[in-house]
Amino acid sequence: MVSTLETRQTVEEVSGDYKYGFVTDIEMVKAPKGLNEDVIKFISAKKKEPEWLLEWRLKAYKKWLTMEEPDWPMLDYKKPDFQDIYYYAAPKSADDRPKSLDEVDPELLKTYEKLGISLQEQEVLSGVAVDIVFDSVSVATTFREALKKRGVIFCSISEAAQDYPELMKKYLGSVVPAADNFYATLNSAVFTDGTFVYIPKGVRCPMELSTYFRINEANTGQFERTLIIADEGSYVSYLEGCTAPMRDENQLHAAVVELIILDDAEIKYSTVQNWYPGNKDGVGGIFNFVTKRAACRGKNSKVSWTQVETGSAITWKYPSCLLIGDGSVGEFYSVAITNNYQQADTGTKMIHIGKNTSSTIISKGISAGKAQNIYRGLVKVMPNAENTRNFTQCDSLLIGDECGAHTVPYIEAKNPTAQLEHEATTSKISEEQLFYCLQRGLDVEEAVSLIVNGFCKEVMMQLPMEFAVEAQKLLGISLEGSVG
Amino acid sequence: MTEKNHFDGRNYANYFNAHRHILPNAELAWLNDVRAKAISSFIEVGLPGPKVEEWKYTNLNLLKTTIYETSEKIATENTDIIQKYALEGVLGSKVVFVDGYFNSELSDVQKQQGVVLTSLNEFISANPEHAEQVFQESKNQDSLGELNTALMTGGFVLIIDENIKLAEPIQIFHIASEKSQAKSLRLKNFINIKSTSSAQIIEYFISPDNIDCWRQNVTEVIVGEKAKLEIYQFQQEGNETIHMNQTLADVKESGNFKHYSLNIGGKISRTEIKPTINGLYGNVDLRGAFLGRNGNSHDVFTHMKHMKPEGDSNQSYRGVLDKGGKSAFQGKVYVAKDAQLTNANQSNKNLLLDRGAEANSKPELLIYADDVKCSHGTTVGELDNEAIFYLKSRGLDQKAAKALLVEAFVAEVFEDIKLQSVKSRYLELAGSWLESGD
Amino acid sequence: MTMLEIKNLHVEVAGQKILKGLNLTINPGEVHAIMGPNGAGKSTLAYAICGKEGYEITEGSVTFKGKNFLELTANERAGEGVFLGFQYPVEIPGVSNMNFLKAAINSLRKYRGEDDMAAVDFLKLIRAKAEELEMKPEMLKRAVNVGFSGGEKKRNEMVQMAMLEPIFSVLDETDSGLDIDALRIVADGINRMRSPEKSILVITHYQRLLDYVVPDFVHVLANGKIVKTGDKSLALELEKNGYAGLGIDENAA
Repeated sequence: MVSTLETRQTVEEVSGDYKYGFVTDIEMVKAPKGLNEDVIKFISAKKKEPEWLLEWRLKAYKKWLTMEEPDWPMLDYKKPDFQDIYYYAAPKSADDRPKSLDEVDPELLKTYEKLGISLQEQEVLSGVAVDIVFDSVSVATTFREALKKRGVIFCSISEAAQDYPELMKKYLGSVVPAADNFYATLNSAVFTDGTFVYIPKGVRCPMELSTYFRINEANTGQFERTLIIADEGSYVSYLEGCTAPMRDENQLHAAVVELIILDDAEIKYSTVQNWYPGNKDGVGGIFNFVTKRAACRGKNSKVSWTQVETGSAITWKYPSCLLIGDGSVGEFYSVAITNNYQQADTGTKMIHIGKNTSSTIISKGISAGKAQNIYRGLVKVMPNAENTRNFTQCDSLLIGDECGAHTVPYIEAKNPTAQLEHEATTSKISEEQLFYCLQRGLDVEEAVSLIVNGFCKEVMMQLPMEFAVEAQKLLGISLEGSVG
Repeated sequence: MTEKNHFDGRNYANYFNAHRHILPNAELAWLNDVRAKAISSFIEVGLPGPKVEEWKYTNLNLLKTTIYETSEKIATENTDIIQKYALEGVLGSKVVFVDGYFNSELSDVQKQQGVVLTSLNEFISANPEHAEQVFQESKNQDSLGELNTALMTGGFVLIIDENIKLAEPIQIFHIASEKSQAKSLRLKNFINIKSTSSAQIIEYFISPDNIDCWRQNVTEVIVGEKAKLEIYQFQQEGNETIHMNQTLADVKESGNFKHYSLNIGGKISRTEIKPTINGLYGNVDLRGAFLGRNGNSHDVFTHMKHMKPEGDSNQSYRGVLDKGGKSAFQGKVYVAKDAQLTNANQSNKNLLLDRGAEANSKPELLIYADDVKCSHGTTVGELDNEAIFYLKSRGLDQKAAKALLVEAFVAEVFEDIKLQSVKSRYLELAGSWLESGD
Repeated sequence: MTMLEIKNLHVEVAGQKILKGLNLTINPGEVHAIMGPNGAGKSTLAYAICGKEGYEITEGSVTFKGKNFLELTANERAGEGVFLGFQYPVEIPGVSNMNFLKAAINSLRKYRGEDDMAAVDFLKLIRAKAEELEMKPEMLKRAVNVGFSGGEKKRNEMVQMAMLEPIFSVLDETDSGLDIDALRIVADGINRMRSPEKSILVITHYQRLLDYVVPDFVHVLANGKIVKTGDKSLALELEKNGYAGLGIDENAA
């Protein structure tokens, strides 16, 4: 038997540097620390919101006060002090919003350049329309005019509240109700910005839409809210990316994403989440507590969630699909990497309600260092959901013997015509694979990155090209120092 | 994580205080202490409510409102029942419990050097010190186990010394009579198979239809080094019975533990198996099937713990649910950090035969060691219409065709059984289950 | 300069002594064959040269082109120009042959202080090599060795060898499990590597391959040591008389 001791010994934490850990020095406008009705009124006023929205927020806030933070996930963390958070922080220059990129604070642009997403570059080279959410406000939206011509609305959710009140009233909170769960309810009370997308009937959105989120200011929470409506026969591919600077304290990110898909429409929603994960001793990092849900309301509607989760001290989210329309389709493709002291409890819910609905779940969890990686998923077939089909594959990869990989699937079937299949495996990078790569000249980190990328291939294939390359690199970076 | 619910434990506290003096061996102070401690632990936590994750799929609300009185010993009435259920050609000892009490008339306990096989109450009165020690080392894991200890009326003890291989399987009959209406039947059993010894146990759980009784059966098992234990259970309770059966097993180095079960009766049936591999090269194999309809609710709950390296475990369960039947398989595999080179598998396949049937499955893996091979698979589906048509084209009617396919579906988990009579009984019950329905 | 010099090599695996004082010198341009019964330590020798973890050198030295090889990691040894053809090529799910080779070539170039190979050049090269070794182009897109037959795996090793252009190749039972056509292609691949600057060490159980790849030297490895050295006729002699003819008990090793 070949000894693996040496590898184990080399599986020690070497400080894996967080490549995006710079702080942008911009003047900020903040609401006072802490949470009360006045802060919510302040946020609402800052956003020049209509009265109904303020009421909606306050109602959520009152509900939230009665709720308890749930403790069922397999996560170990100190619960946030909700009075020690700034709920609103906007770069000062946002008070008079830039009309074009030339007016955007140069410091900001530099930040995005460091991230490798300079706006100009994006605009010119990739043709991606980007909405950037910096702490709490949306700072610039590119390509808006081009989209408008096709009838596509792509703007910040604050603007939508003013400009498209009917759509907002109709759909906001219709998938994730204001009282859905502790963090979604908090978000409903204090959400500061986010993205609003409406794709009209029969329109295939001509470009990928994209949002970049970044938490910059210390002690701020980020509570963005995304609402996407795909009207009949439309299609949109939406990407979101996230980063945050290195800070010693934990920062809270509690977002809500609602997708509504009508007859024959499709939304492809891709996330590359690279919030600051904390340092190698588990200090600092983002708490990423997110509620994402899609309602496939129309017949033959389709939603596809793809997520690559490499960041955050704690990730806690289950992008879900309510398959209501007959023939609707839900997909969930996920890669979650945890290293050092990161924890992730993530997965999906597929609720089959309509007839002839189908869902696919492919989840790849990689755990290294002292991290814990949990897949938790529900496949539920309601009594009237004839001919439901589901296929689920959950694979876990362990790197080192101090981490954990867990799989907690729930399969609940109440209709005899359902066909559900769930498979899961747990394995490690074998010594043989590693040696084979080394013998061909790759160093240990290259080898691990290559093998892990191979392990995640089925998911990575789902990402749009613009994201795939970045995501591939991220996998390697996230595991730096985990072996050798 | 244990959730306190709105359960009023005073009912049980009062009941216990009023009845403790009539429980078997009540004169023994230490046993009294054991019972008293157990009831207070139970009351502290209470009955598991619907928010307790482990009981997500089985609702115990009906136990909160009614107290099932402790069963009473009855005179032997019906001797045919043993004839009816006993397997032909199995020559080992027969241990019979009627309404929660050992029945010496119906039992046939054969003496063998180095083998202790006796009822718990006799064991306690004959070897109080040894018995006290056994209870000291006992490991109740949940509130229902505590309740069982507090109010147990008996059980059996099997201790096999080193190097003894029992030639014939022991058969144990758990019979509830018509007199068990609104009663609780609580047994606590201890099995200790010492190094390099082996034994086979066949258990039957039987109660009449329309008798609402609550059976609890808790068995603590030690499988010694290189020892081997096989348990085969047949649960064929009546339609109103609440059946709770828990097996805790401590598997030592190179120990081998097999547990087979078939559940086809009861309004609530809960089979819990919690083996822990505490030595190198431990081997655990858990297999079973549950068939439910018309108010049957089957819940199989396993918690397989690998604490030491190079252990193997397997879990295979099949569920068949017809109209009004409900099932849950909750399987957990836990691999501790030190349990490198573990192999663990879980498989749960379910058939839904009709509307109004429900199957739930939660195969869970909790892995803390990196050099392991663990996998699980779950499926839910219906019978293959092509296959039914094929069988019909060969002359079988619809029901017979379905019955045959159900038997085949279930057969997979019982295939490896070496005891032919046990295997045939399992298949027979599975095959005739469909036909015996309305 | 000598290509490879092994002196008094002792290797232990999991506390068990496998090589017990092995000596071997290989000069540029030479082809050596090592034969021996099962369990003699042939694969251990290959792994020890290439630096596999768990193969503990307790005594002796391995010098490659004047460098102390034992100080280098496995990928550094590859960087120095050593290639190991695996007896059991490893599967890497999800990683295409193409990507794998690109990563390998660029790692080797980096080690030697060269820039990455241009994508176009890489494509041209790999297509050419695959064609030479009669490998179908679609195989290049498939995951490394996943679902390959035994023969395809070995052929894949040869394509990798041709692409990576090592100066010293160790071929561990590359002939095992091959039918006669595959054997011919593999032998052809090996022969293409022969040149005055390059050396090859062929490890084999049978002399079959040596009909196609004619060695300059044949060594017999038994019980952790080289017990006999000769020219290609030694291989034929072994074929005829077996290891017992040399007084080696094939089962005792």
